[in-house]
Formats: sequence, structure tokens, C-alpha cells
Amino acid sequence: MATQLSSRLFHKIKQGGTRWFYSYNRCIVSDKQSLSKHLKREVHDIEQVSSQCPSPWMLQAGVCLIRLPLIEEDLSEFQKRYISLKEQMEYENSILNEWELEKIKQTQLMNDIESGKRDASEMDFKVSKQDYEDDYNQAFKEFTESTTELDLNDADFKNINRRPKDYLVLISKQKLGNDTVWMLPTEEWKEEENLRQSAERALTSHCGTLVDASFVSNAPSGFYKYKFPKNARTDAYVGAKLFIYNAFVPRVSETQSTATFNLDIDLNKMLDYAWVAKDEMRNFLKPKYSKAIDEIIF
Amino acid sequence: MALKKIFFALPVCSSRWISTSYSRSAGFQGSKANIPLEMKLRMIERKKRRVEKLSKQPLAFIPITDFFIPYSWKMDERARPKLEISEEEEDKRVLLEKEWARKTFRSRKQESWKIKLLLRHQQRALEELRQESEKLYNAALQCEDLSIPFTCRGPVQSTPLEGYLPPLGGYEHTDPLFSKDDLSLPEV
Repeated sequence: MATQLSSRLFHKIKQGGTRWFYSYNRCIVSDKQSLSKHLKREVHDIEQVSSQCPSPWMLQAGVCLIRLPLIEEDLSEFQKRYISLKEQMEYENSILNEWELEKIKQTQLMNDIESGKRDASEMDFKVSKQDYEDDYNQAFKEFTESTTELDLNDADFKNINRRPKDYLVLISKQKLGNDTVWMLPTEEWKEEENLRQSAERALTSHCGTLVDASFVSNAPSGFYKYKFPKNARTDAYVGAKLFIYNAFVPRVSETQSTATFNLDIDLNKMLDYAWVAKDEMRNFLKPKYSKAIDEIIF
Repeated sequence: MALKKIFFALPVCSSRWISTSYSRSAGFQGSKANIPLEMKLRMIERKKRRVEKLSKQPLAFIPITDFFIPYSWKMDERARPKLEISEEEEDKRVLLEKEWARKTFRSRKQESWKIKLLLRHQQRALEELRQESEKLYNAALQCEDLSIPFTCRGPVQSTPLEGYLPPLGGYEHTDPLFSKDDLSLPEV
């Protein structure tokens, strides 16, 4: 599948003395292979440069744990109209089935018996099909009126079953320097570990080992770059590059529409947590951060 | 399988009728009418042996009967009384269908755009990772075997009822091997 990408590449070239030169190329690349070819040229320069000057960005891996919708979305007015039209057309183009044939014969028979055309001895049924139908409708009505659906508490942010029609993301409150910030569970990348493993470590260290989550790929799904506040910046790091990995809370069974979430919080790391839908994210997270996650969730 | 002979009566001239059989070889029709008893018994035994042989083999699947409309469905008594649809109603229906076509096209476009966005974000993340370290980038490109073939369960229609315990077990779809509908082949 050829994907058209326009990539803006920033690369530093040290030119003569201490002058740093930033340039960017905008190129339209036809597919992944040619993109990597294009990047390879640049990476050579970077590797030479990085040996002289390591990257100022701290690598972090974050987990975007998504709870998929439990219940289908409501049908819009238009969809309801179209569905009723289609059902009507199918009904009109259909033929009578055996139940309906019997029903017609029985009603005909009963009318004839009443009017006297036929004998009462010809009745070959005790309960007519129409009576059966009435019984069924009555039972259905009683059932719908007597039973109520579970009230899933939408206001409780810690309930995983809240807002069953939306995509929910787990966000946690963490300490960043002296402040507490709402963000995705993140962990700094350690040596001898690839990014996906550090993302899994982030999930287990924040939520405990009993959490059931399925990661989808080794590649990160999203990216967010931020600079530390000036007092937190060290000589080594100006800011951090956060690579976000998508993980999904698996569905337990086809029949049940509730999800389970076994938490074992480490309160040193995760002061508070919340399951948050897209429109509520801006109340917790910074706008750029929420935008970075928004488009990954679908 | 016995040959199905269908006779057609054709008028040649006003006074005579010729009957011709549908099958190519008319055969010696009526040749088996006057045979001695012994021969008849022998023929019956041979047929029995053939039936025994066939019954030992496993049952073969019959063709899909959905494509054959049973004869009994084509009778007049099965026809539903037709509703008369006014012109306005017909116009409304046609306009609804057209609007639906427009809306589905639009929603499909939106979906494919969302997927493109997801891919784009992933590509960007991989680019930035590559700028950091080649080793991590290569590790990220590794294919994961566990997620292929990918299976996913979809959402349900409604929340569970209070205090309702669903019955355990799955649902088995069992199609009958031989259907009881009469096929629309003429019986001789």
C-alpha cells in the first residue's frame, strides 16, 4: 500500500567552527522503503554528530490504555428512518410464511363457523395462532416493563464501565519535579530494554501486575515532545521525547458488556487515576498533550 | 439415476398426434414389461446390492438449497396482498436511498481518514525514534507474531439487566445435512 507522506526533516549540520545550521527538507515520499532510504543519508550525519554531542532529549515510553466501547452507539434519526424503510420494503416483497397461512385459514374458518357456512366440528385447533401471538406480545411487554438495565455510574472516574459508548483512556496523576501533573503512565527508558518493554514496565509499575492489557505492536503509535521547565533542565537533558504505545483492555466475553480492571496501585508513582473520554481530556491534560493522544485513540 | 422421460405432444397435421420423448435415446420403451419372474427377481437383487454399496459410503453433501425455490412457495395462496404505493411515497423512498448513499460515502471517507491519521502518527513517531537511536528503531520495526491472525470482539447492544445471569456456554450453529424442502425439480 503506497502511503503518501510529506515529512519535514530537521537535521543539524555543524559548519565551520561553532556555528549550528538548522535546515529542513520537505519531501513527498511514495512509500516506506524510499522513506527509510531518504532517512539513512541523514542518520549518518546524526551518528557522527551524536558521538560528539549526545541528544538532549530524554527518552520516555508511555502507555495509552484504551477501553473500547462496551455498547453500540445510538442510531441517528436518519439511520432509524432508513432501517424502517428497508424493513418495510423487505416485508412488501416477501411471501406469506406457514404461520401466516395457518392464521388466515383459522380466521376464515372461525368467520365461516360464526356466519354458519361451516360446521363447528371442523375446528382442528384449540388455541389459534392469533392467540399465541397475543400471548407473546403480552409476555414481552411485561418483561420490558418489569426489568431495568444496570445503571453504570457515569460520574465516577475510577469506574472502568462508565460511559459505555465511548473510547476511554487511563490517565494518572504523577509527580513531575515538584508539581503533580495529569498524564499517561510513563517511564523513562533504561538501557538493555527496547521501548515496548519500557511501556509495559510503565503499565505494571503504575497499575500493578494483575492488569490485563494487550499491546498491539513493537512500534510506537504516537509521539510527544516537551521541554522541561527551566529550573528542572539539566546539562544532559533539555526535555523529553515521549513515545506512546497503544494497549487495549481485552473484552472478556461476547455476552457480557462490562469490563474488569484489577488495580494494584503503587501510590508513590500514581497518586490518582481516571478513565477519561475524549471530550473530558481537556479538563485534565494540557491542550497539546490531549491533541497528541486524541488522534491515536480513533 | 433413472432417466427422466418427458413426453411432448406435437400436432403434425389436424388428424394425427406424434409424441416424442425429451431424452435423446428413446430406448426400448416397454421392453421390461413382459419378463419371466426369475429375471425380475435377479434384477431386483442386483439393484439391492448396488444400494448396499452406496449406503456404505459416507453421505455426500447436497447442493445449497437456498438457490432452489421450493415449488410450494410459488403458489398463488402464498402471495402477500400487494400494497399500493403512491407516487409521493415512491419519490420519498428513492430520495432516502440517494441520501443514504451520500452519507455512507462520507462516513467511509471519514473512517479512512482516521486510519490515515493513525498511520501518519506512527510514521512520525518512528522517524523521531530513528533520529534518537538506530538500535531502538530496528527493535521497533520487528513484526509481532502474536497479534496475527488478529481477532477482536465488538460491542454489545445494551447493558446487562439487573441481577440477570447469562447462561454459560456458546451458541452452536448446526445446519441440517439434508433439508426437507421440496426442490423445484419436476417429479415424474
